[in-house]
Amino acid sequence: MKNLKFTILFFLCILAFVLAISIGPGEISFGSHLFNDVILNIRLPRVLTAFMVGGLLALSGLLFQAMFRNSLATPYTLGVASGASLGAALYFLLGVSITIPFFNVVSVFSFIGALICVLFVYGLANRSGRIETHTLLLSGVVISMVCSSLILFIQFLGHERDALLVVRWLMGGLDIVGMDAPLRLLPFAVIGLFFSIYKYRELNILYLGDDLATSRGVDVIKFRKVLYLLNSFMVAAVVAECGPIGFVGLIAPHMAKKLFAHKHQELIPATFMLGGCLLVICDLLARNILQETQLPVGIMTALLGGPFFLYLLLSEAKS
Amino acid sequence: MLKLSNFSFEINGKKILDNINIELADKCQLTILGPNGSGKSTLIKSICGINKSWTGELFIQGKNVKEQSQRDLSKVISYVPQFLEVHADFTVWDFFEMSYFPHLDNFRSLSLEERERGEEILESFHLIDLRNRSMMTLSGGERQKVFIASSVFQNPKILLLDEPTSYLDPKHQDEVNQLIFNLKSKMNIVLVSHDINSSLINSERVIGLKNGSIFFDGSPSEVLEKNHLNDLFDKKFNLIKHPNKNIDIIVPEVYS
Repeated sequence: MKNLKFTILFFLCILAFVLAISIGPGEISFGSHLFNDVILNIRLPRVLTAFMVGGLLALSGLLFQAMFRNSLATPYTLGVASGASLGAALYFLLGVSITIPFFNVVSVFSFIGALICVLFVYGLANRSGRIETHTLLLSGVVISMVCSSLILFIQFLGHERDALLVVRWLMGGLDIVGMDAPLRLLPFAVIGLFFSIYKYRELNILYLGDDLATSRGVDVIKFRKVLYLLNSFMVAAVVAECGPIGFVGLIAPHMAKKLFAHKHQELIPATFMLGGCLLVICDLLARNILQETQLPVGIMTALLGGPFFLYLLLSEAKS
Repeated sequence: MLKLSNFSFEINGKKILDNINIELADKCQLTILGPNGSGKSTLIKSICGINKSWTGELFIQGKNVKEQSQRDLSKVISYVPQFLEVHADFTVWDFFEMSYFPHLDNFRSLSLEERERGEEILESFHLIDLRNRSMMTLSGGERQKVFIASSVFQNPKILLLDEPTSYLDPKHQDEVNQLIFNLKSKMNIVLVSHDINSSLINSERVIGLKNGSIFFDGSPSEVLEKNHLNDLFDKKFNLIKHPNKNIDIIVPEVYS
């Protein structure tokens, strides 16, 4: 049964990939000049990026949920996205005109913003080497609010055009060209997946509560610290690349838990595949739903994700 | 087997445990009695590594606990908490497998031998039919038995139990007490309890804890002879002879 579910999931991913690469404006024949330009240089990197971004956000949501033993935790719970957004807003305000090979400068700004935010939250929650969960959550919420206020302040100070750019960035998008973006994300996906699969037993045991987990041999304090830092790096990389795309990190882990219960050895690959697949499909819809323009993918995930999550909550309440 | 010297623990300057000294011989049941807030649970949580910022010395099997990783410590000591919460939909067998974590490498699954041992323990606790049941659907008594059985599967030298019968009906209390009694030949038992009679009958040694310090330490008969219980709980206990054993037990107060 478990293998069948994974096989279906795998073919679903393949189907989403094929559809996302082949559907779009214009007729493109294999081997033509347009094929290289549109398929290889735009759609394929975009689909790969969407899959990795969705997968990483979903994985991050799953890890945060295990870390806090709270099924409503998301990749953005601890304010990483707000830090990244503040970094991006600063970039737009300052009108920086430097170029860095292989890197997108707005991504560099937002990555640094996210990291500063992570260190700040970590510093606030760190009490003589021990990270208290509730302090971490509160610090995350407070830093998130401070960053949001500063973003508003920057929008107020800047030109209208800059404010518009910030708002557009906050909607999240996958407007990329070339393989640089997926290559930048690849190490985070590989390390994130490898680490979480390697530590699947500890992740399962975290659900037993801190006391029991400790008595079963997990150094909960140390593990939570590592989990927090790794997770934050993953989210920072994603948000820096595509802006804060919502709901995937919440919905995909829930869908995976419906299919595979709480065993992380199955949940981790399933969540990554579901998250990736979900964002590829959302991006496909976002690109093609309006004829004259493309919707930012963040709007599509919110439009589909909100009602779907409500459905999940209601069906859980019924059962 | 277990040795605590000058063992203290404080939170925000308040002493919760004050200069505790205990040396425990092999294969015996030690019960820790004491009023609420006397530091009983804190003591066993400190012994198994949940509370880390204690001072003093703690040796288990001659090894200094401060020099051991949590995983190594959990190979020799296991703990059954007072509140039996499981926050996810694991089956009884999943829960069992998790208990064996200290002995497993990250990618090694249970060997056939270890699996059979786990099944034998489930069998001996009359839980084998529940192995595929979700932990969330178990009754209080069943859950308590699963927690104890899984701690035994952890294969410790010392089993710590925090009020294992507090929330159980009399039938399940008897059943759990019997199971704990049967384990005495295989490992050391350190039990925190408010069940005074059962402690007096089944333990080789009783320690009374009051305001974080050891108030008395001795055999059940010594504790009764010296009226330690009255002073420990600031209450006069009525005693009668146990009908089958040569020991006194307490009887409840009758209010008029």
